[in-house]
Amino acid sequence: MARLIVTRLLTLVPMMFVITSIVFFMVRFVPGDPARIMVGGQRTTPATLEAIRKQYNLDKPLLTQYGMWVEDLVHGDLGSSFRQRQDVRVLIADRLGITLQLAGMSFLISLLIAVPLGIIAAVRRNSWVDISATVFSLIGASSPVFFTSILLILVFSYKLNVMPALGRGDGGLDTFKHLIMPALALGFSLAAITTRITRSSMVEALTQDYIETARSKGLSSRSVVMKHAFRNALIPIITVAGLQFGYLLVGTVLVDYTFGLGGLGALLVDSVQRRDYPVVQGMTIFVAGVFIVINLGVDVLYGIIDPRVRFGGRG
Amino acid sequence: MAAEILTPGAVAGATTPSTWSMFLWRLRSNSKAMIGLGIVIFLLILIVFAPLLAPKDPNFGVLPDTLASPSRDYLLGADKNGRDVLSRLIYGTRTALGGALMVVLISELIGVPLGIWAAYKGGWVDEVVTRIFDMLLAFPPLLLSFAVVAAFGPSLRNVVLSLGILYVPFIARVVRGVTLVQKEMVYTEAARAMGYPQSRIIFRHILPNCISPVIVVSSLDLAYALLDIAALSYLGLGVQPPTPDWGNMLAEGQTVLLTAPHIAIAAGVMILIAVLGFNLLGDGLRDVLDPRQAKR
Amino acid sequence: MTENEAGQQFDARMREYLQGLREQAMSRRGLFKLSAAAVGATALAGAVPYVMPGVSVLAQDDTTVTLGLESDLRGVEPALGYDFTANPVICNITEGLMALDKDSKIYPLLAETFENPDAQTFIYNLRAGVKFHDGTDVTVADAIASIERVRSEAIASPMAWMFDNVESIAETAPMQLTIKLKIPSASFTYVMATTAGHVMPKSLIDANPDLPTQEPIGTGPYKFVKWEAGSQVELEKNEAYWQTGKPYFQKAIFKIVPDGTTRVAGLKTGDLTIVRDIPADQLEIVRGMAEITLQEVIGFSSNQIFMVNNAAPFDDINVRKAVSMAINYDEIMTNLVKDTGVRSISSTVPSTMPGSAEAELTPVPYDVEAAKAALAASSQPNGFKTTLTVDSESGQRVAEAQAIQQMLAVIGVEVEINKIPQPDRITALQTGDYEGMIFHEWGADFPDANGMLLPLFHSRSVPPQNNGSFYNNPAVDALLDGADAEVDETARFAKLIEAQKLIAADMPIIWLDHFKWFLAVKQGLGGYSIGPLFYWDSFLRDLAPVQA
Repeated sequence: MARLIVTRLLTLVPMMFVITSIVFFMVRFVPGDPARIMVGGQRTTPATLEAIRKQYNLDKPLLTQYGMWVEDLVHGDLGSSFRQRQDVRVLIADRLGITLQLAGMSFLISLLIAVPLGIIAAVRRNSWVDISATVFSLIGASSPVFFTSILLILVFSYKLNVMPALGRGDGGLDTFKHLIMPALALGFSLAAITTRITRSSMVEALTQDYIETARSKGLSSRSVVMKHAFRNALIPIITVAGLQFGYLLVGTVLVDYTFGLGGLGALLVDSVQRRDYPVVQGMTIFVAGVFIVINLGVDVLYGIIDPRVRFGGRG
Repeated sequence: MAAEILTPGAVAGATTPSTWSMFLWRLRSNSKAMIGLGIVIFLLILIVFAPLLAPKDPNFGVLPDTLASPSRDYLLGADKNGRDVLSRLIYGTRTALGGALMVVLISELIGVPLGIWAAYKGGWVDEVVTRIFDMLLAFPPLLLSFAVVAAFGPSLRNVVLSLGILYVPFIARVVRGVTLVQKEMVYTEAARAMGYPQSRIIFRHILPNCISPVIVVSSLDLAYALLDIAALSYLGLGVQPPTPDWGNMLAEGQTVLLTAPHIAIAAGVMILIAVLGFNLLGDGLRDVLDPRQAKR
Repeated sequence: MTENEAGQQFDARMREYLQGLREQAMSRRGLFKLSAAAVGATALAGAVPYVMPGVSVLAQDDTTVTLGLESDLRGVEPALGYDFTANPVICNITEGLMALDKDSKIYPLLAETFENPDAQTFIYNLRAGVKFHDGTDVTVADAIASIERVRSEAIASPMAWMFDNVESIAETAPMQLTIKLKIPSASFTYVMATTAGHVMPKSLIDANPDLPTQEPIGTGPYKFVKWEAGSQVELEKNEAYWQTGKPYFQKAIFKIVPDGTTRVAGLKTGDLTIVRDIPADQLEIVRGMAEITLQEVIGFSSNQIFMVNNAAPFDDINVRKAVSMAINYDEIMTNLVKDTGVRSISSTVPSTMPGSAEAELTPVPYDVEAAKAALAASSQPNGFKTTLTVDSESGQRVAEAQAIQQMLAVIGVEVEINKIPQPDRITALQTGDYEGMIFHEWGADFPDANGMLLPLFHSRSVPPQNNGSFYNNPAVDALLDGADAEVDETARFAKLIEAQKLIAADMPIIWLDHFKWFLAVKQGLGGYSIGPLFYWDSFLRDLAPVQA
């Protein structure tokens, strides 16, 4: 197990390094004077611009800038926003909570929808449940998550006046209320894809010999399904859930922006729109880091479940 | 990991009549693929015959008709500048589908040779290339496109280029898998022993086996590209006004959602239909070309 | 990862696992442990933010007033408070020596009395016993430090120019500040009523010499609590406020709600008590709300499009004429601007401002034939291509840009729209980094017609300041400078009107409209009416439920 973690880290850390370096260099090809961007659109004098250049090392050669940036990175410093004159870490910390809430709720919703639906669809293959599950998942996968969000806003906030439209609320229960629709929109999208995988993995599991054996031994249908098939189907589900993390990431950004939740997604889109590149850079590094951690986590989790991995011998 | 999408019907470069007609027959009986194909053809018709089909000039607005509701004159209503929503949707197909096609084309032009070459060379070259693919595969292309747009500015061209490059691993991986398997096949060994040139082996044995997986992956990639392009335009990072584009229209529709919901609904449904078409087609093709997976 | 990949990967792993299963027993306990862990982890992810610091569980109540802001703030430092979003927040925290009432008349605030013995001398006698939020007394030293901060290069305040004419600032007696100017100025009297005249403690300023403060301290009715970037700013009542009995509300929350429709929805549900920025197409809806009172006032404002006068093709007056006359202003006003503004009559000074020449000027006519003729007689008889830069966030401005693009195409002028975020457009204006045409909004700093002219048309006001059309007319310069030094009102107005006529004849810009300011306030609250210079005002000082 330890070896597993170490080998994965050895692969993933260079990956993060490469991705973030790409972002660093690419983003420094921006035409225009970074010092001007930092002033954020206020009137200024050439002397002030010069002072800003010195403060942020913009007058040094590119490689020196890169070296200093890497050093900062190693110390956990993600840079500071030009526009808002705030540390990127602070900007992220302020918004991390609501993004985590959104991601957690959406993930939970998607599992709650997809797993039962997938199981039932697999068990009653070609029934109307199965067909509607397929339709649901196809449409869910084809509808952009921001469109689903807009439809929910239209129906529940504007026409029916049931849910608060946008924004993140005042915290606690109010925030939870504001997150219901976003989480539904995102959960629905995620569920669409997870349903299919759940269904197919259940189908595979159900057609295995040992299920027949269990049935022939007289175990009731239901216990067969729940105990044996589901247990074995869980691994691929968890695997896929981990693989869907990429889409969860993108979906969270889009939903955040659409609902104006003021989370990490809104921050990222805002900074891209305004070409506030220290924030774009810092956030990409952060996201890449999170990505690695999650991927590592899934691998470890998988290693725990699959005895073959745990005791070595995996291909 | 091998692609394992090999059937007797897909092997061999020469397309014998029986293979082709068998493929067509299977295709016709797969309802998913047929619906998908129907939608795709419909979209292609919209692209080619846009000037004939669109009732009005998509870029000409009659200001007094601002935000008009759907009516006989404006079948799907009008937007803030008094432009016909239906015409803009029709012309929007060009940017959406055109962009998606470019993305997939770029990814194939780079990815197919790259995948074959990496698998063929083997050794550390293959290792390095696979590692790079692994890195890129994990990360959602959309997020990396953000960085590109932040650097080079928002435009359809930048979006298409960055997505095209970021989609390379999807195709390259599959192609690499096919090549790896083919490499081990007896007749490849034989061919090599007999001194056939590499290019012949590639063209006669490897490429033909790539066709079906590439088709399936391309169709699905088109669906993803459509979604990604729509997302970037929705965020204001892709197609710029006044060029009609579904993502842009959806964003504009959201700002007037309370008073004129028809714009957002029309644009969103259009995206849905297009993406659905390619998803269905891709699924159906996978069923047809790989009976193993079809027995679900 | 595509679903295809996922499917294949699961296939492989599934097969391996099922084979392994036959050889080994998998304990049921292990599985339960696992699923419990998975569920627990997701629940934890959902619950963590609740226990994280900073998440308040306070619900909304009647002692809290909530305002909806249309975008995030650039900052909370008064020396940088120069926009329509940050100022309503800042002006509740810090106060200036003087202030403007809703009719734009000046009155002393932190100063108890104010003397203006001659055109170049301004004497402020500070009020005694006023304390900052941190408990310390307000002294002249604090006032001087605050002024110097606006003038400091490190802070780069956009209001630094307001003190360009200052010869000396000194404490001439206990609690007395005297400012002497180099030459007479009719507008200097208003400077101390802007955020440039707001007072912060010298100790706070000394602690933040190079960077703006993120936690301002002032004398205002509300204290700064915290700013959650992108989400909201929280203020709390200053119990020791020097105007006893005020303010009414215990807490003030400024929520950042970028979507206009949501702000309006917030008014309906009661989530928001006050909203200033309302999208044009939803004014009717807000007017119809029984629970809301809608105030409106024509601003000392002007929305225009600068044409770059010192380069081809707009250096030719015939080109400017052609472009100006090809625009159907009525259509834009009726369908896009609607009730949010009144059409400008060839001047940036609205008729509601004394000194406006609009009564004597005529609006630019919409005449396509005349436009074509002008173009034919110009340096570009065959039409030309140009760029129009506009804010991406504003649905209305983007629509205006597209309408104009369409109208200009009729006379053979091809316009490419350059849509960029507002801070970037402002940066472009400051650096002069644009060509062709660019949108510009201006609100006067002072209740003085010259405030709509000098910054926009004087030749020395070119970028980084706001003469974005690079207009250069020595006769106009002389008139505007002369007007500023002219203390006699009649003479001053005469010069300003003369200047506006000259500018109108030169057509350096495209005049669009004087936009209105709106304020939607929950029914039953009174004490504040929005004025044209609301950005120097505290909304909340006098706001309270109206006694029946």
